[in-house]
Amino acid sequence: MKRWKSGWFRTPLRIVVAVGAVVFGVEFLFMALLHDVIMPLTSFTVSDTIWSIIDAVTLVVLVSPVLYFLVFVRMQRDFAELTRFFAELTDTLMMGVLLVDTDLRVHRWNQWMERKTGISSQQACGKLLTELFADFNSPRLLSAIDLCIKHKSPQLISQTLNRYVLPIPLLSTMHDLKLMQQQVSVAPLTNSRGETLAVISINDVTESVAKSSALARLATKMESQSNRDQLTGALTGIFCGHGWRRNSSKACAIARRSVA
Amino acid sequence: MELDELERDALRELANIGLSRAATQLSELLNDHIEMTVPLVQVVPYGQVTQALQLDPHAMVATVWQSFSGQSEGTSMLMFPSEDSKRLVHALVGPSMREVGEDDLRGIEHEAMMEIGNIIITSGMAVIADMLGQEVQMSLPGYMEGNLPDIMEQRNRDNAGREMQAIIMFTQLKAAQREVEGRMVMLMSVDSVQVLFDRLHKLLRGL
Amino acid sequence: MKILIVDDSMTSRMLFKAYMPKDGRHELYEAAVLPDALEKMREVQPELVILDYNMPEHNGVEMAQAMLGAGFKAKFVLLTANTQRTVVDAALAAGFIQVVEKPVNAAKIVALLAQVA
Repeated sequence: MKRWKSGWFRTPLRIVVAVGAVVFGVEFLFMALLHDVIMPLTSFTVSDTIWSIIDAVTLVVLVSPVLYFLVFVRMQRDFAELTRFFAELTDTLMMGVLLVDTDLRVHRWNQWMERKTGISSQQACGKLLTELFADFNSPRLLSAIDLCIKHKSPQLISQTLNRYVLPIPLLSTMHDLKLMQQQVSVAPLTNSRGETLAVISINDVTESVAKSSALARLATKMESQSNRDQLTGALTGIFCGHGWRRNSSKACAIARRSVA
Repeated sequence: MELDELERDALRELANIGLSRAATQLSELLNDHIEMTVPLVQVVPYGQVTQALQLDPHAMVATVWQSFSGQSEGTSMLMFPSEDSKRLVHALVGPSMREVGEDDLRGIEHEAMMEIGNIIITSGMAVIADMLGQEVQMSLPGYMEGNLPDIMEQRNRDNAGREMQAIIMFTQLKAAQREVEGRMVMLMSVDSVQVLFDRLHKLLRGL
Repeated sequence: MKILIVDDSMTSRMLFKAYMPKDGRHELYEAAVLPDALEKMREVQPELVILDYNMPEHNGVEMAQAMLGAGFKAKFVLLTANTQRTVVDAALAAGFIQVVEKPVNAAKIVALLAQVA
């Protein structure tokens, strides 16, 4: 009984059905009382016009819950469809998308995140970021989420100044980077109840970081080799100036463009 | 717009708290002591902004901007002379970028300045919103580099036909032993400036 | 308790005064610059000195050092939105008992006074 009381009325659809049934029942009882008890016992009569009005009201009372019911079911189906659509939309993106609240609790975890972290959406949703990543340590992400949720201000978190925000180990080790390098944005999303969540979008920029640092290493190596005499190993004067450094940087830029 | 002494003091204190909070955030990000000063706050009509900013019209300016909406609407811009911002990023990112190509270098500067600007603008706007009890929503930040007339021309197009005013806060940012002269400009319609000042008066009346 | 607040911003001093509990147990004195602050220290001998950090000529920590150097005894509290590690460390090293984050509100002031009393 207790379960029925607390649980059954939770959905608006059931409330509509219940209210419809009660209104119709009350009206039916009233009509029966009027027609079968009050009218035969008293001299009270009801004109045809009044009967027509009562019939019309009965019809409306009977039909409106049904109409509402049909519209509501349709709306609920559309809403479920829309929710599924947006959930799947985030799954089609070639970037990590996760939704978190101020406590860092995960509300959505897209397929890209599942693939890159090996943590399924079911495992992630409802958990704290700190539970999912034991060595999570990004004060910048914490303050970005705070600014984003409290002040509705999107935040950009660059790879240049932060390297990464979530420690996601790399699956392939083609280079000496151990963790995924990330460029991240944090944006607010407010629902109709006024609750704001932070949408964290993560771009994996590991490849371009690795490429840039490989080219930088190459340039340093070229510079040091060109600065030495091939036979004696002594420093040559010609390349000691900064001109060569500038040229080698330019060579790198050209090399980078051709690789890209 | 002529401000009385108390209005000017209140605006300056708002800017001071906002920029101090930004300095705290930046010091966490850059792991370094950040100094930020607020020597001056000015409110000028749109036509006088270029002159009031005291920037060489031919010099390149790095600008990070974020639009805001709510009870007051407009754009917050943070401007640094490009030379200063380049020196700052070089000092921050250090040796790792010494040998990268020019394209990469530009990308790194752009990315770092955008994040630094994003933090300063957001912290400043958050304090103003909090202390004046205003709801403000901010857009994602954007980045422009060009000379001042070009940058203002771009803003002109966005605000065509509206009478605008600007609140300018001059600040000196010092990080990694590099000093950068920054200017934060809040470009707003006259109506929005009025809403902001009404709130400011409400705060001051309560004291 | 006699309290001296030193802040170059009139608004900030007014905000602090507005949020002080009006129970008649505290007397508040104000100063905007170091010479005035030293003068007030000599005049009223406050038990608690609240100092802003970002001020044009001397920062709050430097002012406290000047007051201590001149032989004044009081409890010092830094009132600032600049709560970066280096500033907090410098304040604690200079003998400040607490750092309160700006902007102030009634709750922060009540908590501070309860702690200092």
